[in-house]
Amino acid sequence: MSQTIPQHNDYNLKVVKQFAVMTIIWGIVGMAVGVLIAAQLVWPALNFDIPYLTYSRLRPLHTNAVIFAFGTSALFATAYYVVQKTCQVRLFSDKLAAFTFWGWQTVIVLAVITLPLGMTTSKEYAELEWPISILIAIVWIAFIIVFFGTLAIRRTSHIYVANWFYGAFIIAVAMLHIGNNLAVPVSFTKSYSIYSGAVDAMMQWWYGHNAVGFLLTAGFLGMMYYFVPKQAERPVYSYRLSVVHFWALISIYIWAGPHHLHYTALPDWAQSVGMVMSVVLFVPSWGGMINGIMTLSGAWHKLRTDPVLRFLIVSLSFYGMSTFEGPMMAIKSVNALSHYTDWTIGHVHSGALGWVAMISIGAIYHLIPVLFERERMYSIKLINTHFWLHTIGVVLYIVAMWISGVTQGLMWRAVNADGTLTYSFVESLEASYPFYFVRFVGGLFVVAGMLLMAYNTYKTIRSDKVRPSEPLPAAQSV
Amino acid sequence: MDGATFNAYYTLLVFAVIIIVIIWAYSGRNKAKFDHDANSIFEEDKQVKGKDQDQKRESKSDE
Repeated sequence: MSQTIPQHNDYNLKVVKQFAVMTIIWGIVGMAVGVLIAAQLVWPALNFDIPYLTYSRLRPLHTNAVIFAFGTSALFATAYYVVQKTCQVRLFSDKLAAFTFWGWQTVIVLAVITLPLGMTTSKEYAELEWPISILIAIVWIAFIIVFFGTLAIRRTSHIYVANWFYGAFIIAVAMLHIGNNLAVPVSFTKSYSIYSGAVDAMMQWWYGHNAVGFLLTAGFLGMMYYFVPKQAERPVYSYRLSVVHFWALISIYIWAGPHHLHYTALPDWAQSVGMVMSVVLFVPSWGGMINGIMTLSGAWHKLRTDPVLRFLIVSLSFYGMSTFEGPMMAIKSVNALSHYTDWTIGHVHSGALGWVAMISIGAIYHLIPVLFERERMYSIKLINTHFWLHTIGVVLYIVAMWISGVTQGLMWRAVNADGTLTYSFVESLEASYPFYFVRFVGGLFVVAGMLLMAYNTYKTIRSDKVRPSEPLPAAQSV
Repeated sequence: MDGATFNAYYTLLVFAVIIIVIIWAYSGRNKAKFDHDANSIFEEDKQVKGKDQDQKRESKSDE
């Protein structure tokens, strides 16, 4: 039965495999760069006085690599897989799907080259210069055609909720990317944004926060709504709640951006709108989190034996934590303490390492044996070790940044009786210093886990334990 | 219409839309349909398993 792959449909799994493997590779690269720059904050000599290795150039490389290389590859892989499985039809166009893979890898390689060279628009999370921006837009439009084309030729009557989230993510990212990157090129490697002043700031954070809302949230919620029920082998807790979750989330998220610009030149009413909408967002976010976690209701014992499910469910706990923390930090009086401090960095990483990375890792562990037709992952024990390395790493990271951030915020605002500042900036830096080391150690844990994942995946793909006739893990225990 | 009036109307519109979505999602009439949709991701496995008992299919599906 060596080649027996009884599948209902002839799916395009090649592009899914490619993106799944690249997710792991880019994850290691992006997180390793993160650990390097964390180490530079502890030992500044680690830039070796080489301009290409300075913090200022590697930091955007880190963010681009983890968001657009690691996270977005995971989204491509799972979106292409889920849309085929739930629509029971092959991708709309194999050629266009292959183009999105090679086009996206080209974008990433260009980022790896240009960012250390110092070529940047200086817009956070949109640093890539105009020729690369145009390539991103072209690849993304191809993605839209493949995804929505597949939905259009589906063989099922209903469009499963995961596809709604993926669809919203894909359309919103196209709109945000094109809107924010409009620029006047002055040479092949330099351009200037068409926006200026407060309008530029508002456009930037309309883009920036919705990159969080639609790429790092809606996309991964699509992943959650397919892989959590699939791994738990039971339908989502409440499909009706998922419908309300979707419409509430996408109609509110787009307004939350101004909370990045509290107490700036942005008009006060816009700041207030951003604050209120951010606080309201708490409701659909927790609705979604509860829906995901309660899917396990009545089957909690599975968490004890299945580390993949543990990755998925713990990711939802981190999602719940950061979507409570986020609205709180968007309140102006809290923001007065937290903004510009390490608290923000801690918040971002509780979302990025806790929610985004853990749900992606869980989904990829679910997918690898399915895609490569293996019985199961090479070592379940190693998945378990990865889970604990990752969890400990994330907790070390975010706790260190919370303490450091609140300390900074309190020291910066402290004033003497005569109105002068109590502490100099460098005193607050000295107070943060030990926590920068803790953060570095947390990062090491996370990267070590990713290396285990790569080894486990390699051994799985190379193993000869071919999956028996059942095509999906759901059927393994039967 | 100035910005504030537009925002006021927009807020009302979003509010109304969300109420309508909630009523639609939770109306008793739609319960069976949504339950069926939630289970749709497992349908294919059942079909495949059913088929598999009758005959083994040979195909290289991923190229």
